[in-house]
Amino acid sequence: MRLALRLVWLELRRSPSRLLRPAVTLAVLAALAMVLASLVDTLDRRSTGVLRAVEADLVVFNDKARQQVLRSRIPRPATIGVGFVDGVHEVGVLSVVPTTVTHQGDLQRAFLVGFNARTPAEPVRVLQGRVPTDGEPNIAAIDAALHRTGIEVGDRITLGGSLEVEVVGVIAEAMFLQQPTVWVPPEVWARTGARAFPERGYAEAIVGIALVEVQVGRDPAEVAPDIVAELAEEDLDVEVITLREAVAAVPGVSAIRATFGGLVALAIGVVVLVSAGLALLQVDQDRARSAELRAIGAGPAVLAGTRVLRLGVTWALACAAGVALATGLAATVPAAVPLAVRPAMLALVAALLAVAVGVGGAVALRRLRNIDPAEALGEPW
Amino acid sequence: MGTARNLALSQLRRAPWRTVSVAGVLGALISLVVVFGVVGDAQIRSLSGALAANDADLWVLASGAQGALSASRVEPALLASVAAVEGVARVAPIGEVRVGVRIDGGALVDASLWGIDPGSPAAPPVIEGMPASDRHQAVVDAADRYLGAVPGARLELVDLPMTLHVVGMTEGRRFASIPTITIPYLRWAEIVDALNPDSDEVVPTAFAVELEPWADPDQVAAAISVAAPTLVAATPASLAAELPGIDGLRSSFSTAALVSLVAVAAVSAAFTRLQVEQELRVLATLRAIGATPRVLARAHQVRVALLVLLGSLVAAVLIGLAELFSPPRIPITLDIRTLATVTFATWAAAALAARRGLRALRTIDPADVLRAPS
Repeated sequence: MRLALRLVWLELRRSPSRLLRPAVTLAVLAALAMVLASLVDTLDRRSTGVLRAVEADLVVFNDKARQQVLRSRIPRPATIGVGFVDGVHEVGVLSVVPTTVTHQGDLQRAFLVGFNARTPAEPVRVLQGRVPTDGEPNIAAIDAALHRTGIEVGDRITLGGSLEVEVVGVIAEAMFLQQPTVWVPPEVWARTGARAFPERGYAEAIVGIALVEVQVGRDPAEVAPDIVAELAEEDLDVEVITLREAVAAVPGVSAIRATFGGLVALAIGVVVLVSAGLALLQVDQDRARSAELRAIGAGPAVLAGTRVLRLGVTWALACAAGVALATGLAATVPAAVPLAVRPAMLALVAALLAVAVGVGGAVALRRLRNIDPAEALGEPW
Repeated sequence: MGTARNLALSQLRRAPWRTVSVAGVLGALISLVVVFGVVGDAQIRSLSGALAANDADLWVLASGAQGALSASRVEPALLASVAAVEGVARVAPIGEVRVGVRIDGGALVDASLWGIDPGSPAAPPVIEGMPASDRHQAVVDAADRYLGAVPGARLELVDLPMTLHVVGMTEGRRFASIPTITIPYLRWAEIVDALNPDSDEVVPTAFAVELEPWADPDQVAAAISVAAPTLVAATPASLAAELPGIDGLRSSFSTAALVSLVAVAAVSAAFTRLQVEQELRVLATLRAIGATPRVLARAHQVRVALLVLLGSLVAAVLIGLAELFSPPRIPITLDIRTLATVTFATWAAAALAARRGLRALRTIDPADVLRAPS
């Protein structure tokens, strides 16, 4: 291994371009895979941010809503009933309705989220200020996406063209269906919703979904049927699913995951092909030198070690450059492009690329084993 | 040219595996770029086709909805005010609501139910079957064929004891990426009324406007806002462009396609450059036996063009296979124009890289061939 390391080091010093050129090629592909993965990740998060912003174990929908947050309507008294189910620790309600936000003459679309403070429906990460508590009139918290448009804590915004509220806090990005969110107490939400959609019968007594936190040590899957049974006794048919399932049920999410997921998989497949192709070309290019090394006593393990090390260096350089390219692109594209890089996602892609490069390199290692030391004596062409 | 072609072809034949692997890599990358373009277009059509491809000249929405169809409610009484605006030839109500549907007793799916009369300016053109004129009839989008939504199919509305029969199919008129069903407006109003028993009145989502041939859409839109200040008129295509998520989705696919295009160009250039460098010794041999640098450069460029062409064929096969085996909700199709454009860009990048690498031909010494290999 030491000899292999030395050989790679000497080669890197003597002709760095031989190692750097394939690294540049792979870097472009690494950047492609990272950009694709980040796009799908951002699109997904911007569709489901409302549900990701809270910490709950179970989500209760009325059965006609078919797991859609926007369509779900549960009578508020029913959510009180859920609180008495064995194994339930706490219940909160969360309701969503489309609205507009006007700030200093600029108008944009958003979703208005009504929520119970200090329950599982309260957003977990508050970046600035605070979140409104139940019963507080005409105040709101905005998510980081709205904050980026220039709205600050203390500013006044107009909801739905008619209700003026004061911003008291900023929470972490919690977009829903690609639009930013404004978080208000349930009463403010009911007033705004009733004005916008009179036929839907929005009222304080009718809320969207219930978010349930189960007691420590209890399995949410066991508590869910008890909630369904409890509410069935009150003549209310509900569907109780985990938060993860509710996130997956948001409209468009499965399509985004299937479409972009397939394309990311295709990109990774291309990386396998390219790394195999590059490694094979390099093995051919170095064939004469490898034969000479074999002829003077270097074993196949040394040559294989050299190849693996070169692939490792290539992968590391490509990933570093890919991360830089993807991060740079994310920083420069307009805000409308849903491209935000997360270290966890980049690390995952880098790991997948390591596997892809490894698979590609394995093909080259097979060919390397077949190099005959006698080739060093003859004309390689 | 004949010598260059012979040289190029014999080089490709001599190393078939290398030829296949380079063409395979190029093909995979080219197909990736093409698929991004095609799938992106199809997804956007599926999300907004009902508006983007609508034949009405203008759609009139509630001004408070800020262009969001889901938030728009227009007072039926204002239909007469819009009809009275100079330049308006016809006005008709449009309704949209989400419903749960079982197609021929299959799985429960969400659907977008539109109330549009067959004679309305916004009526989708029927490509198979006939328009829905009876209260039990419906027209569906051909993209939902894979769910069984074809003429003759039964659509059960799960929230109501109601069944519709598919009598016709339209194309490219999907909305919100879910099955899209069109029924006569009055039937739609009945369904919405039944879904919301507590509401007093069912109001249309929008009005569709057909203009007189001489009328200017912008002027008429402005006149509508003056005649009814609670209304705003816009072309359906501009409303489609403003639908939530459209901008993000379009820019996502554009970014992905652009980065893929850069990747395919970079990879083809890198492979070409590596091959040129690897073959400098062969080139020196050919120089030693009398081949001019010009012939050798041509031979290499012919080979590059052939490899890119082969890659393009591989891409066409890969896209064809993806079209056959991908799930119906990922609508992959072979778009020849995009394929040709990407192939051209790939060839240009590879040809430039080869040209750069082949500069060494000018300085190559034919005597190199007599020296031992390095």
